[in-house]
Amino acid sequence: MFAYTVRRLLQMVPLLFAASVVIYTLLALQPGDPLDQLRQANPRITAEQLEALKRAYGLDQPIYVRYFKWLGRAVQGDLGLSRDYGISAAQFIFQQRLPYTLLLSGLALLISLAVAIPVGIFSAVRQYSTADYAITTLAFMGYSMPVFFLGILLLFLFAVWIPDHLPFFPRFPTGGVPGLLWSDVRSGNVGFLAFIGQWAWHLALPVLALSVIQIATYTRFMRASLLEVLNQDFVRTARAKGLSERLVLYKHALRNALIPIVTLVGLAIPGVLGGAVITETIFSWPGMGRAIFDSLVAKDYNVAMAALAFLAFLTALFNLIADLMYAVVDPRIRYT
Amino acid sequence: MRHLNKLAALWLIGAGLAFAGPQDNSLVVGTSQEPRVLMGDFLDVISNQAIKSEIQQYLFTPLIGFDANSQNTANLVTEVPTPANRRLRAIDIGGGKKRLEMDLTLKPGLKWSDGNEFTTDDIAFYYEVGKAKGMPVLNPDYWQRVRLTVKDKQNFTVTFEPAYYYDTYGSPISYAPAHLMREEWNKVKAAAAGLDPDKDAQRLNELYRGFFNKFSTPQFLNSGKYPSMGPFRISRWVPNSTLEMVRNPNFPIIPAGGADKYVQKVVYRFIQNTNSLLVAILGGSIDATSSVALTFDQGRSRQLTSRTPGRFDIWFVPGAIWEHIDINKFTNCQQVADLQLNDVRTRQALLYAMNREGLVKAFFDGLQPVANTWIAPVNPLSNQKVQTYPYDPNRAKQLLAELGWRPGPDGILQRTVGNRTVRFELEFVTTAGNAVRERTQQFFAENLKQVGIAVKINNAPSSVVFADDFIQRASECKWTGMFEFAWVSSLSEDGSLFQYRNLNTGAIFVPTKDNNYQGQNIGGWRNDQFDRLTSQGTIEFDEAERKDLFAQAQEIWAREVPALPLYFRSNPYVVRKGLVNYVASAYSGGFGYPGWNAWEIGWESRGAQKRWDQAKYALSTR
Amino acid sequence: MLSAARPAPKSQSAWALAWRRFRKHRLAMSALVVVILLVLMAFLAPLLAPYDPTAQPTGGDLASFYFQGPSRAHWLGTDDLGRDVLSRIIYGSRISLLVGFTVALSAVVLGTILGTLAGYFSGRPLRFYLGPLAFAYEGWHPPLFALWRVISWVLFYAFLYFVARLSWILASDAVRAALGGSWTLSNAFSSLALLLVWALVALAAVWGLWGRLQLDLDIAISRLIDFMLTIPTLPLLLVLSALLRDPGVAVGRWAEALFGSAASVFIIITILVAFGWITIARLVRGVILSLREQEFTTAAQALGASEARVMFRHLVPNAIAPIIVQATLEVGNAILVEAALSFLGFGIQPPVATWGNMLTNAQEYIFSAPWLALAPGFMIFLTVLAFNYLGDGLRDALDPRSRL
Repeated sequence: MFAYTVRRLLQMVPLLFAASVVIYTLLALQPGDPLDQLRQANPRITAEQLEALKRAYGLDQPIYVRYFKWLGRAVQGDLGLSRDYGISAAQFIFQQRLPYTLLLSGLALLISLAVAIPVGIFSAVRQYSTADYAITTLAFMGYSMPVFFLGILLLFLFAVWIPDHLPFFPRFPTGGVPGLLWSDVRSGNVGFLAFIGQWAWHLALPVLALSVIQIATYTRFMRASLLEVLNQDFVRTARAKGLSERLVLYKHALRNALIPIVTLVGLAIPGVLGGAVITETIFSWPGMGRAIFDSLVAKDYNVAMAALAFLAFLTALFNLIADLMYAVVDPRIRYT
Repeated sequence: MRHLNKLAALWLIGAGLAFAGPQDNSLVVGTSQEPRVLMGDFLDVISNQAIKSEIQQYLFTPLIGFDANSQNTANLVTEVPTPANRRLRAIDIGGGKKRLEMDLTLKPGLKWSDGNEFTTDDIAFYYEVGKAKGMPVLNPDYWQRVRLTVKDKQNFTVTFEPAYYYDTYGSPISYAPAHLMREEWNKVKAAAAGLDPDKDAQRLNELYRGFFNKFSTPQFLNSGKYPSMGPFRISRWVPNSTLEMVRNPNFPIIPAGGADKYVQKVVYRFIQNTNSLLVAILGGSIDATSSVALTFDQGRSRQLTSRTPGRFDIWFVPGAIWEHIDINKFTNCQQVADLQLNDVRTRQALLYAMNREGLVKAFFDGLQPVANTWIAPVNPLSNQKVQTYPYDPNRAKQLLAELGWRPGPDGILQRTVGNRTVRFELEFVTTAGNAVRERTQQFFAENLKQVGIAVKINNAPSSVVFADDFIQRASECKWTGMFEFAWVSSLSEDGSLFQYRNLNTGAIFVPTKDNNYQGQNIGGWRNDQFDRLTSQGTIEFDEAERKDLFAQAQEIWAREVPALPLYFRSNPYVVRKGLVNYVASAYSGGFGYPGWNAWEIGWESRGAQKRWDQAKYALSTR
Repeated sequence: MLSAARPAPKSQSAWALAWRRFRKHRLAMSALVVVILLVLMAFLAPLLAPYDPTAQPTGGDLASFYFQGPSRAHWLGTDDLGRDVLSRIIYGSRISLLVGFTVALSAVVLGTILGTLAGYFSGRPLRFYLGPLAFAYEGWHPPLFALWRVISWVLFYAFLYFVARLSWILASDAVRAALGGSWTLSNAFSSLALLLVWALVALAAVWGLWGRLQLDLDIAISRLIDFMLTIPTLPLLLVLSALLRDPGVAVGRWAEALFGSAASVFIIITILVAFGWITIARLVRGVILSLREQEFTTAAQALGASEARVMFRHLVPNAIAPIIVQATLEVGNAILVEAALSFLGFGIQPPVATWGNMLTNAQEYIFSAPWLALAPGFMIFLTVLAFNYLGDGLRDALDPRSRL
């Protein structure tokens, strides 16, 4: 097990190297370069001046030189400056965007699991009951809903239509983050509850939009996984021993049924941290997905590179963790 | 009790239900863009966003303002230099070129918001940084021509050589707080001393950016150390949410009736998604929109217009953003040669076939006028008496028939070139994801189909089509037909969009391999007469003379239609009733943003006096 | 008569059994009906659609033709250019289903092949490379390996040559400058790197004469999957859409010729397949891993069946149930992703109507004409829902453990 882990960790090094080469090449191949906007912004710029700017941004060097320069700095923890924001790319990604994404996507994931696991269990235990059919139908509906359609629908309903027709219905905020910072609470300008309330108020719609699909997915998985386990011999044996249904379910079946869910969540985490570009766009949420999209459009490649390389690392890491987790929780799997 | 009030106020701002407007004499402006940086980045090295320029009007009042009537106003200087007061001198330097000298005197007793004296030292500091070797400025052309001579703490002279007529528009130079930034700048200068702008360009660039960055992030500005020289100063900037500015008591211009009768606090609310922004306006938490806010269609949407009467005015300010279709005229491209796009009659036929009048009426209620040339009607240089091309499909068909086109079996025109049969199938490129453009594009495609021209749409996201290796490569046939996009023009029109060669500088503006694909005459039009007229017009200081030169140039342009002019965009503004002097015109402040006269924005109910009437500069839906 | 008797009676009853089970799943049956109707709608679009989906009104007061609400003439109203929404919805089903089916099919084929190979050969490294001078028992057997052995030499040395050449191209300027006396750090670094690479290439060339290499396909494919997962989609999309639009690039011309105005469909399908096979490959690998340990596999092997026959005649058919289920889910997923790509500006070009670009466009008018968003939104929803139910029904029907 230990040897296997070490081997996989070592395999991660060339994998990440290859991934970073590919990502860097992809970025270098992007149509246009960071100077396009400068060129458009200023009609009177001359070829020589543009050449000078090109040199100033290091764009006159071949890709491989740029890559190794980037790599050399990156391993020392310097991910370069954001061309667009003027601050360091790492600071921008990890301080200004990651927390917001953690808040939105993380919250959505937690809520989804909190809803999906009990509902999935219920659905599996009452397989083929009316409730099961209803839950399945709802889950499928949630799963089939295009997220941007749902997002716009929620906005239209809760921020426009319902408040328009129900006079006392509160108008939900249409996006963005509240103008309250933690420092306001610390300085005593604003109460803790008001602070939490504000953030919850702003998070409500985007979290809802993000959760619907995840709830649907995890409910289905939970149901399928539990049914699988309930059909297995050891559960039958437990039942045959005369254990109460409750004990069979919670003590034996559930623990085994949760294994695939745990793995699934593990594999989903890089995606969670990668942000949800569509939801973030609709609700003007300053998260990672939007940051990556914007940095690509604005050709702010240090930011794009930092974010994408970080996500590639997370993906590789959580893949490994998921594989190891299989081994830990399922004694039948042996890695040598 | 006070504490409690504060809490309540904050709660309400967050909830988007703030008592915006007259109740607390504040102004909440909604915008869909957030500045990356402000203030410290005074040369726009880090960012040159529109919203940054707009907000900085509240924080840095230009020495000489540019009002809604496109007139210079002396803000921080005693008077605007004119030949009459002998502060403006144009000196011949040969070759038809001139040197321009402007003598300026600062108003007495000027102070930054932190109480420090405002002197010519602040201007000299700005000048010194801009002129530093290898500074990656966005307008190198300006920095090459400008020179500053400081006489004493109040008097200085700005020189342009060679001078262009638009050098007298607005402020000839700007300023930056030397007392705050000089020390750090000296360090940067020392570090940059040994660096060679050619070899160490990247290192230099990073040094400079680091310098500007230090003074321009939200974190730094929230510390309150950066002084303002405008009517407002930043009190709080919560990234992704709001920027709050409060009145600067040291500001020298006192609006009629006293500053306390005018807005005391300005809050910019950042809501990226314009649909969400519209919802926020409907919810009543926003008093006015910025220049980067709603789209034209949103400005006219029923949701908004049905609720505004009595609460909001909706204005459409005709601007200088010129929506047009450029045409590839490089005959080395097979398609261009086959379709004879370089023949003026083909382009005229295309224009006759396109129902532009119908489009602006159906799409825009006529609020965005049909364009006849590339110069906006609001520009004094505009010539409205040029040849026009009203919708006339029969005339188009006739012209096409003259060129040898006959209807083919599928209804699409065809002709024989050598021994090949050529179909009139025209590529049409624009930015994917821009709903208005994709809509006009399909509208025109239908128009062209009516006269027998098939259109092949080939759109991509703007980062793809505006990339240097696409838009600039018509000469390599990367795009082979029509390309719809817009140019933002300012008052300083010089014709470079359609010049082959600028006779003043010798620069070639048709992008080909030979000039490293520079220049904006992307379709490759060449007319020597046009080049001569516009080049001469740019260095002509006599207004009537200049107008005449540009009028002639426009006549040539309209006859030849090197590009198909579509319409000039209007910018929608939603402004709460009772808010006065929040006014934008096509060129107000230089760029056409509101806020150029920030000190006189106020609520009528609070005693603010109306000096500027938006109705004079804009159309309204009513 | 004769042909009716041919199919093995056992397999017939297995499928018949599944079909009987499937019919009992009422929702899945209705989903099947919906899918069939959708497919019919796509095929019969020209007959069903009341109007030309791209026809715009001409003449008169154009604005009055735009944004009409539902009426008898236009059941679902008209859009921002006066086009009939119903006709566009009907035609739009073609693209959505084309994307859905093509992606699912290609992803399944690719994923099944790779997954099967990975699962079947897991833990049994294959001879991958055997140098020309290497002596090995059965070094030329079977003939297929002999052929590969020779090809691999060519590939191996061609690759070495390529590396050597590439490094020279990359470093030549610096080396020339260095030889010319300009010893800057970067020049020296480049020259050193070039020497190092060449030394490595020479070593590899010598090794290649005698060397032997074994490759566990499972590890190779699993790492490939890991690698694919780390590649970000968004920049890839941007690059591809620029590349495919470049007339100087062969793929671009080819896509253009094949798909015409819907060339962007090709980009989207490519991207979706490139990432879609992964799930299926993982799934198949798992199933094959357990199947290959079962008696019938050992029996087939003992009977002397070739590896390919064991894999694709014995193992894959037994894994078909989860593959079919996954395929139906993939169809729905592909349709959703196509819509999402439209939202981000990478969708299919106008005037071709797709539900994705109709919905995206409608978002622009969500306040002035909210009904425009409902029809495409609902159709995407309905289609994906139908495919999900279909998959669910198939899962139950094909799972031998599920009750009758």
